[in-house]
Order: sequence, then C-alpha cells, then structure tokens
Amino acid sequence: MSLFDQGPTMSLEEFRLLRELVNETCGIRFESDAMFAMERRLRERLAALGLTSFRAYYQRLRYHPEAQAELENAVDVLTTNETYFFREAYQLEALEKSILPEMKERNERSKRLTVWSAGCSTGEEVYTIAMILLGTGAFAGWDLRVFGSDISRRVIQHARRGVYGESSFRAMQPRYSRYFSDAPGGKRIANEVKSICHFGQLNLLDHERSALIGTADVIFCRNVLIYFDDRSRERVVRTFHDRLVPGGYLLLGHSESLLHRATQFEIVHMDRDIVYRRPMTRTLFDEVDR
Amino acid sequence: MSSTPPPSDDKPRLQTLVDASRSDDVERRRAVVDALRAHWTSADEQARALLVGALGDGEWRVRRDALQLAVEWTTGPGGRPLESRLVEAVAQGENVGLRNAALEVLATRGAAVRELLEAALKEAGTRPAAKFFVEALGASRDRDAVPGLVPLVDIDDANLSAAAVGALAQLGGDEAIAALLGALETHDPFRKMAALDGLAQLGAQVPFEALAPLVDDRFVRRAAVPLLGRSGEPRAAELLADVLRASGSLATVERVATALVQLAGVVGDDAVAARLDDTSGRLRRLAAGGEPAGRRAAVHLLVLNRDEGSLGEIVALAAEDELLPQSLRALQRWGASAVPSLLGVAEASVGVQRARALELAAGLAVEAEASVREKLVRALRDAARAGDATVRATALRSFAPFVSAQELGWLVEATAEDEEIASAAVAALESFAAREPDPVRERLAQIDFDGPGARLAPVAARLRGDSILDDLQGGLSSQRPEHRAASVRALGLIPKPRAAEMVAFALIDEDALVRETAAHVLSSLRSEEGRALGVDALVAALGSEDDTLRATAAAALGDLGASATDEVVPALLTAARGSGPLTVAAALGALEQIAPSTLQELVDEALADPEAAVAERALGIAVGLGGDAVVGRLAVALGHPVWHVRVAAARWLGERREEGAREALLARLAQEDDASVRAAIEDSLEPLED
Repeated sequence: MSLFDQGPTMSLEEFRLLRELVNETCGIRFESDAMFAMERRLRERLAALGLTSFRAYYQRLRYHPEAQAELENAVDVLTTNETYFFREAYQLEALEKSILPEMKERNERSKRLTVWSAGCSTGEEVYTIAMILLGTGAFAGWDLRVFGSDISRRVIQHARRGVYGESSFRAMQPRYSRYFSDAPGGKRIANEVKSICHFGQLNLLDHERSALIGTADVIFCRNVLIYFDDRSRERVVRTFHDRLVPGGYLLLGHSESLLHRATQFEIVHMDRDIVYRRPMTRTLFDEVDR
Repeated sequence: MSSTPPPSDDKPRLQTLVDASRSDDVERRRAVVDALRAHWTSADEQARALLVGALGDGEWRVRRDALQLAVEWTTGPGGRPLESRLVEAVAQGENVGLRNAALEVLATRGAAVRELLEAALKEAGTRPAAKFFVEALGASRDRDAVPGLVPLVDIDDANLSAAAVGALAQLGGDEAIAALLGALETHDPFRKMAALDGLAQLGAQVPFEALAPLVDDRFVRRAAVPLLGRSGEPRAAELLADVLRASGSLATVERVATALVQLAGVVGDDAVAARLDDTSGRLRRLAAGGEPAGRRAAVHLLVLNRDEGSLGEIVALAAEDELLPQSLRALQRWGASAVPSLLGVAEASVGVQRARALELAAGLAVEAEASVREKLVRALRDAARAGDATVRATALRSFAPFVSAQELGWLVEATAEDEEIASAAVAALESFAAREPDPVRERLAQIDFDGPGARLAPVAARLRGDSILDDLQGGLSSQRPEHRAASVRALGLIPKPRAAEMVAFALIDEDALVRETAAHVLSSLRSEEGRALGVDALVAALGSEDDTLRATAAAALGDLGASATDEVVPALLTAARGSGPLTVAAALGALEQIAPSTLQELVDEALADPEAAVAERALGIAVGLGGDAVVGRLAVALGHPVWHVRVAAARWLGERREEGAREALLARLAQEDDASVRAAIEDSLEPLED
C-alpha cells in the first residue's frame, strides 16, 4: 500500500472508539491530532483482513472471536517506533560510570545483576546494555541478565533474531563494533552478548504478569511513558517500583519525569542525568498502597 | 484510599473524627473521610463541617478523597446546605486549596447551583471573590447564566471582565457570541484579546472586516490569527502571509501556519499558495523543530509552495505518519519533477525515512521520462535486495509497477524470506503477472507449495486455474499456518466445487488465521455460473459446538449478500438466539446484511442483552433500521451495564436530533457515574441544546 493510495478514511467517531479501545488495552493515549497517523497505520490491517471501513475494524477488535489476536496486531502497528544502539548516550554513561560500580559493590556476594528494558522495541537497547555490562570487564563470572519486554510480538521476534540494518547503527560507539559480525540483511549481534539477553512479550499494564520477570536491579523505560495517559502511567510506575530491589534504579527518557508526581521513588542527581531510585527503606507507600 | 478504614459496623463518635482530623498523620485524616462516607450523610451539619474542613486539608490526597465524597453528598439528602457551605468556601480568600476544591465540586452540579452562584456573585459585588463565582458559572455549562454575565464584560474591573469573557466562551450560544463580538470594540487590549480567544474557542465566525484591523495591533494579533484562518475569506491569506513574513517567534509562525492551512481548506490551496513568497525559511524552521501540529501545517504550506529544498522535512514527517492527507494530494500534483530530489533524500537517509523517500519517488514517477525511471528502478532494486527490512519491504512494494522478466529470479527468492519481505515480493510478482503472465507462469511451474513456495500459490492459481488443485493439497498440509492460509486463498481463486470442498476442511484448522481465511474464501467462492459454492459448508459450521467457529461462519454467511440461499436465514435466526455472545453478535450482523426485515423483534432482545458484544451490535442495527422506535431503543441501551455500550448509545442519540433524544440523555446524565460516558453524553447534548 503506497502513501498515495486512498484507503478507507476514518471518521471522528471511529477514531474515538478505536482510541478508547487501544487506551483500555494498553494505556497508550492518542491525542486528538493523531487521527491521520492512526488511520494510515491501521489501513494496513484493514487491507490484510479485507475490511472496507474502520467501523467494521472496531467491531472486529471488540467482538470478533479472534479479537485478542487482532488487537495485538493493531497495537503492533500503532506502537512500533524506530530505535538504535546507544541512544541517549548520556544516560548510558550514568549507568556505566555511576550505577554499575554501585551495583557491583552491593551485589558482590550474590554476583548477580538483572536489568529490565521495558518497552525495548526491536532490542537495540537491550543489546546496548548487555554490551556495556560485558565491556566494563567488571562482571566476569557473574550471573548477568538483561531482560527486554515489549507489547509488540513482532518487535520481540526481531529482537530475538539479533540482526540489524544500518539505521540501527546511527549512534554506534566504535569500541563495541567487535560484538557484531556481518550477516545477510545487516550485522548480527555476537552470541556472547545474546546469551545474557532474554526477551518476552509484555503489556506493562499487566501488573501480575510483570511479576514473572522477578526483581531487577535497574529498569530502563525510555520514551515509553510519554505515550501513556496519567492513570496508566501511575500503574506502570508502581509496577516498576514493585519489581525493583530496594536501592534499584529507574531510568526514564529525557522528556519524561516523575518530578511532578507523588511517587515512591527518590530522585538521584548524577553527573549528566536525573534518575530515580527505589528507597532502601520501606516507606509509607509500601504499607498503604500495596 | 486509606489502608485503615474504620470497621463498618462500629460507628465512631463524631468528636473522635474531629480529633482525628487534627492529626499530623495523613492516613488518619484520610480515614476520617472514609468514616464520614461509611456512617454519615450531608444531612448532619457537623459531618458537613468536617468534610469542608477536609476539602481544605494541606495534603492533596485528603483533599482528593474529600472531593469525591463531596460530589456524592451534594446529590444526597442535605445536598443544598453543603452547596451553600461550598459557596462560602469559594468566597473565603485564605485557603486556596479549599477554594479550588469547592469550585471543582460546584462545577459538577451544573444548572442545579446556578441560582446559588448568581446570588453569591451579586453579593460579592466587585470583591475578589466575584471572579471565582463568575468562573464557577462558566464551568456550570448552564446557558441560563449568560444574561447575568453579559453586563460584566464592559465593567471597569479588568480581572472580573476577563473572567466574564472566559465564562461566556465556556457557555457559548448566540447571546454569548454577540457579547464577545461587542467586546472587540473596546480599547482595552486585554479584554479584546480575551474576547478573541473566547470567540476562537467557540468556533465562531467573525467578519473579516472586524479582524483585519487587529492584525496591525502587535498585542492582539496573536489572538486574531486563528479567527482569520477560519474566516473563509481569500483576502485573509495575504494578511496572514504578511504576519508570517514578519514573525520572529516559532510560536507565531506555528499559529499563522495552522491558520493558513485551515484557510486553504475553504478558499482552496491555490489561493493560499499564491501568497507564500518568501515564507519558506520560516516554514522550514517550524517543520524541523516545532510541535507536531505546527510541523504538519508548515509542511503542508511548503508542499503548496513547491519548495523542493524542503523535501527532507516532508519525508521526515511522512516517516512519522504525520503528513496530512491534503499534503499528500498536493504533493501528487508535483508529478515526476520531484523524483530526482526525492531519490537524493533517500540516498542520504536511513531506516523509515529512506523507505518513505523511495515510496514517494515511486508514487510520483509514473509519468517520468525514461532516464529518471531508470534511476528510480535502480535505486528501488538496490534497496529491495539488501539492508533494513522496512526499507526492503517498502522498496519491493514500490517496485511492483517497474518489474520486468529479468527480475523474476531474485523476486521469487525473496518470497521465501520473512513475512514482511515475502508478502511485498508476492505483491510485486502478482502485479507483474497481471501484465505479463507467461514468464511468471513459466518461473512458477516448479514451485513446491508445501514450503515457502505456498506464498506464491495465489499467483500460480490465477495463472494455472484448476490444474493446480492437486498441487495445492500439499500446501494445505504444510506445517506453517501462513502457508496453509496462502493455499486456501489460492483455492478461493478456482471456481470449482472441489476447491470449496478442500477449503471446507480448513474451517476446522487449529489455527485462527487459516479458519478465518477459509470462512472468508467460502463466502466469496462462486462457480463459473455465479453460484455460491461455500454455503453448505458455512451452514454446517454454524451447527458446530465451537462458539468461535460458529461466529466466524455466521459473519461469513453475511458476506454472501444476495447469493445467500434459502436455508441461510433460518440457520442464522437460530444462531441469533441461544448461542454464545460472539455468535449472536455475528448472526445479527449477518442478518442485517442479508435479511434486515427479520430483525425488528430480535434487536429489542439484543439491546437488553447484558453481553456488550450483542448489545453494541444491536445498537448499530437499531440505528440502521430507523423508524419511530429508534430513540426508545437507544434510550434502553443508555442503561446498559457496560460503559462503552452507553457511550455508543449516547453518541448515536446525539446524532439523531429527534424528539426524546435530549430528555433521554439528560435523564441518563443525572445518574451516570462513569467519566467517559458523562463526557459522551455532554458532547451529544451540545448540538441538541442548540
């Protein structure tokens, strides 16, 4: 389907219905000016299903026997965003220079470290974190795990494959090139890196299912919360709080902030970044909100 | 909510709560509100006092809990005295939190508190509290408040006057608009600006003659711009373009660009494009760094202005799926002249941007001269054969009109790759086969359909007809569902009863994609004489015990349209009663398509069905059936237990504009708790109130 193809058009009413359904499903909020973007992205699904109107597509998402599977497809095309290795490097520097040394000292006995990349898209962030962990050389013999999750099944499959084209390397740091080899369709991530990375499909609003991840020392959730409505954002932040070990860190995107919200996290100023930390001691929220 | 609510069977003494409300512990103070909710009503004066105290608590969580309870209590016994206390809370000037909470509660009461607020406003005179009562009247959405506010627009107190203008803008209606238009005559720039903002907010049409002089006033220009965009007056284009050329700030450029796009929608693209000389620099700056709405507007104007140097910005916006449909249409008018520049942009980009640049170039190249086409084909071929999956798939899709026989080898190989690449390659082959069948037929002769070759089955079926039937048997046995589905689709292209028999087996496939495809194919498969070949299989599936299969079959039977045979309607009527909700909903939809006259009675039963799937389907059908009963039917659905059914019913009622619709909506609004439904009802009431 070309950009110039005139597919079915979306009425305001259909936009409202679909927007509310998507919001209900995964917490993502489409502003009123996002109608054309939604229309264009979902046209692909209408064409695949042989449907001629967005009303029929809404009915399908709500009531069809295979509605759940199609809802995943819809969320898939609506949420996929391009990402790349070593995105927002200043934050990765905070991880490498400040957080990891602290974690090394703290977890010296267990020799175990878990990082969760929530909303990892096609996996570049997960592998970036894994390369940094390995690149420090400080964790030899440790049980390292970098867990990547995303609501989209398709991007998770891409991440598992671990083969990336040139657009993923736009901010690549040369010293990590050794972790890649040439492959059909791009470059393949080395098994040494891949072996500590795990991927799974997860809706961040699914608090119960998030528990399957276990606890994490650090959580990355960058450029994800901006798409959520307030209520969903609070639910997700609470999930992160529950999944972090006391003293664990939450790193959000540069345009995302918890400063104006009442949260369980404390703010930590690092050299070039502000990050959030779950307090070491239990707070009133632990008693009240659980 | 607090973790320590008082035991519900043990009513504490009120004095205990008074003491607890003075505690330093936030949770104890929240527990006080919980206790008030559990054991008291607003009929008790002390309880009211405690609640108002909690509305002014220093901690937001206590205020939030109290606010929720206050909203509940204002509608219960003793609601009026509580409202009076809230009005007093607005008048006090010490506790801002209390005042804001009281205003918030009063806003939920709408017309019920108008008279109370008007009396308080009168009493307040020109004291600071008057401004808050004016704001509360605006928030009440009760247009009967307009006459009381109009005189305040002209008074000397600038704050109060601006508040009145703001309130009128919230309330709307002819009288409010007339008052705001009158305020444009004033010499006070603040008041003029507030009136312009109010008129813009109301979507009012302001005469061009009244707006034109305001553009010269640096102070109010900003507020006049959106109204000029909405004026529908071609002369406004020149004025706006002048403002654009003179603007230094990105915010003003954004505002003007948005207004110009809106104006173009009424006076035509050409009338606006003719005025855009010397604006590209500012527009490009906005396109590269503004907010999404501003970027969309800037890019649209750059497209209208045929600014080739801005193709990078245009492609970047397309890559974010933010390009306006009218911008695409305008870009199409550029024709092949833009292709070389777009290929240049593609070469300098990666990822989705590269994909979009190629896609746009291919879309514009249809009538390009040979050398340009050659360059494009080379670029598409290179991009289709290596690199990012997104770029490859897009290039393959765009390549379809340019495929030649020598490309067949690598295109067929690409159909064995990942789904995204493979389906784009199949589409390209399909397009070429329609133009030149022989080379494709020859190339596909040796394809094995139980492997990745299954994806090519539909292309081969079109070329080989029923001689392919035996070969497709292998595809139906493939281990991969997408291969089986492709074989089913291929069978759907063969107008023979044997093809229908083979597809019928796929209705019980373990994979949903295959079942779906089979049902869809069975509903569309016709013999050469035009007889529907899949009816028997679909009717048989309707008798299955599996609700999902039955629903799939029911929906497919609806797609038969005029080809439905005699046995279809009785089978669907049976399915529409006594089946699972999915089947009932699908059967109702199918009956609407092929036998709407059978639905009058069924639709009433379905509207009362507690299952949302059934009720919402019935709603759409009830509207389609029309007639005198429609408003009554929609009113029934307004009481449905599931919120989004109520939202749908409210929206339909708003569109009907028939007798009884307004009353039904108001009746529901009075008892509705759900915020989404309340918003939908209020939206629907707005045009009805007019």
